[in-house]
Amino acid sequence: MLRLSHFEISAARGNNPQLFYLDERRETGCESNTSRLSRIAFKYNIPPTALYEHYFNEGRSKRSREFFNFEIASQINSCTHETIEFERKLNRMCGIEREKFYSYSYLHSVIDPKSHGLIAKHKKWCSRCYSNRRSKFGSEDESGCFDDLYWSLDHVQHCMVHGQKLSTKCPSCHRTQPYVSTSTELGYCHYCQEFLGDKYEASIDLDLLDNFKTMFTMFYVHTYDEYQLKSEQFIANMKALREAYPEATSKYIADTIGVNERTVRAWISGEKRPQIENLFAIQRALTLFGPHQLFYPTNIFMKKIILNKGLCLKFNQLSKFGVIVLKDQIKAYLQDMAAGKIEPTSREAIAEHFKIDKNYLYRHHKILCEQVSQVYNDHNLILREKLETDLSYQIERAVSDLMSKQREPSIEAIIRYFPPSLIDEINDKFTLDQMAIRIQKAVDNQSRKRKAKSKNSKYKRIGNMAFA
Amino acid sequence: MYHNQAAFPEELLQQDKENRVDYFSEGFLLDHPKFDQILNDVISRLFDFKKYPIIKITGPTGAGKSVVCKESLITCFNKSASSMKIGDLPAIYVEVPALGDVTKFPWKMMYKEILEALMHPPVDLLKQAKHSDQSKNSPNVFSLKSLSEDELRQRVIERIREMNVQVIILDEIQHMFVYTEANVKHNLDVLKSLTNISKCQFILVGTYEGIEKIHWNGQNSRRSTNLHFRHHDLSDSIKSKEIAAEEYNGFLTAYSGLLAHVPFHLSTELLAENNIDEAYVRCAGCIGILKEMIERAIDSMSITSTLTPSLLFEHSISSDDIETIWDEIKTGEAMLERTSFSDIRNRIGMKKRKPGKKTNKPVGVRDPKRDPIC
Repeated sequence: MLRLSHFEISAARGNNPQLFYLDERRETGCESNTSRLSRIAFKYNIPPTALYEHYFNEGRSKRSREFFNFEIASQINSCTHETIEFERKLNRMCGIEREKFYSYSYLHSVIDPKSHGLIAKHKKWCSRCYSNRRSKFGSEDESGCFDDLYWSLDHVQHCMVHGQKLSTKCPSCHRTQPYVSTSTELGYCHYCQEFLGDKYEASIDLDLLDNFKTMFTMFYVHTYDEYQLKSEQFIANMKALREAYPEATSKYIADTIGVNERTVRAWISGEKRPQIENLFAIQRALTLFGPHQLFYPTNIFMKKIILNKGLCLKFNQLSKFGVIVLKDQIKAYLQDMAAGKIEPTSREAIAEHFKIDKNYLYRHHKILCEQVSQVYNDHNLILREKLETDLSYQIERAVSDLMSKQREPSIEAIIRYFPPSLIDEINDKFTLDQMAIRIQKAVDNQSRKRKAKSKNSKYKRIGNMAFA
Repeated sequence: MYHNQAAFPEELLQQDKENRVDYFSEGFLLDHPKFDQILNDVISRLFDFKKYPIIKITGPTGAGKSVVCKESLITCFNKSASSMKIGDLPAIYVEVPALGDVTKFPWKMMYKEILEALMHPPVDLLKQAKHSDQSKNSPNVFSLKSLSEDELRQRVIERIREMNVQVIILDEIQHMFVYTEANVKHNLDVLKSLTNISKCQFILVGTYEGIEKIHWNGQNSRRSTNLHFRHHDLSDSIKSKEIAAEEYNGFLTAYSGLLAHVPFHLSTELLAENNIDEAYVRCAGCIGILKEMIERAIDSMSITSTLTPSLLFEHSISSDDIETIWDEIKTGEAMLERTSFSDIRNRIGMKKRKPGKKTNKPVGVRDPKRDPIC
């Protein structure tokens, strides 16, 4: 009765002691379940076969060693029912109460539940990561290595930290490695016991690595909270695609990605879920940057597709997504105008350009409109200042004023109209003759204008007289 | 009639016999002076590893040592509640296994018991994992061999650290001391080493059995604190009247306290002086034995019948067994108290101080002088 009472007392206080104490290790994405299993095995001196059989395979047949080569990863790193069950069990044993992912179980409701083609047939690893991890976490008792979950993904071929190609064979004996070695510690060859992080592979350039990072965003678990992938979203997006592009029928999609039309219909009706390979194919067909974008909110999803302009199908302007396009076009136009790429115009002119009401424009793009107004005012001010400093303009203005007051447009009278800065400039740059010629031109010009207006040419040659 | 100061819940009287007996066997904790004293002594020393790395609680069978263990365990959890992290286990209780046909104490079995109490994966699953060659950079590779005693000990220490265990209560520790004297000495050394390495306080609880073989070495003695959970002593050998009265009252309080928890009719004769004496003899002054005796008696009763002295004594353990217990108590107590400081003085060769002459003569009065002889 008293024997295990410390557990009872502990449980009564809501603190259940855990079976395994495993420190959290995470760099890019998260650690895989196979890696956790391997680490637990060596930490607690329980061979992986015994560990798996005792805790996760109760009452079932014994697992052969081949099981640990690939099958184990397809069971515990992927998104099958077994994965969910295993993960929940292991998390509980490690004292992790809340839902935390060390596998692709968060994709269970999104992709094919049998996870065909998700997990690579052979274990992959980044030798540079292994080397770093050994020096960072390693001790006399353990190698310190652990495997990232995304390494087990069939589509990923490069390390997202170092950009180097993931290794698949031991650099010494050139043999592929099991996901969980039944005899050797993680980070070392199952067959020759050599360290797997000794030989570095060539790295790809950073731009390409960035592209890969975007493309495989869906497979980094730490982004799960951000994306919350749901199959309902995928279905809604496919329906919206059809609405915006009437030609994007199930048949069209099926032909583009190379599957049966019925399969696409089953995806859209929610009857079946696409395989990971098909998600990549759909993403490529729609010119998106990664399969995760297929699960974006519908507005964002459609915007991405429409603005990418990669789909050679007729867009339905009358659909509800027509507004999205117009909105984005206006936004881009205003942004360009605010950035000075386009000459600023008045709000009325912009509204007329897009054939919309200027109040509608202000209501929907308030901040941008204010920015553009500011730019437009500044632009007008600059123009005015420019005119101020323009000599011809000043002379013409003075002549016009004098003629209006029926006074003689003499040089002295004209100069009185000039700003002081301009007078200094005239003294430096112009002779009297030059000035006289300009004044004469201005008088002629004014006369012509007035003549055109009132056919009155009273002051026709007055400039000459003044000069004389 | 029920006890004057009945301490059981009233609703029990509406329930059947099994519930009433269950309540009496497990439903309450009886406080009595000796129990309180020993429990306070233990509790005041808990979590003070530097001063009290090893606490020994010795006492006769049925004195209530295991109840002290349980209460100490609860106190450990209460005391560390504020600082306890998820997954921590501040104290554990382990019963030392008794194994017959072996010449030395099987530490492997002991480690297995401790690991089990620490919720460690089964020891049978564990296999050796060693570096494949001499260099530290070589990987650990599994072999088919089971863990050695040293490796198991290492696992125990690692697990204690993992779970942040601070107190380990080892009950029935006498099972460790029924081997040869050399083995007992070795066991004590292992215990000391475990204590030092794990930085964990050990509470060793056991009877007097095999106590004559326990010779703590100097190092162990310095580290250990002895708490003697005595039986109630109503014998005539106690010279001090005050102590004798205290012992009698203590036993009477416990006896009456137990009867107060009996949810059956009681005979008034039970508290008669001669019956108290008889009960004392039949339980050897150990409250645990007395409780078991009452439990057996009420289990044999119907719900309407009355517990009488004759029924109670009918269910006491046999006279032979009681005699053995009395012998153990006497031997054990004699062993624990055999050495006095005056003996030590003799052994290290210091002379005994001569007691001063006693006189009734007042101070300042000179000795009488002989008259001169004429």
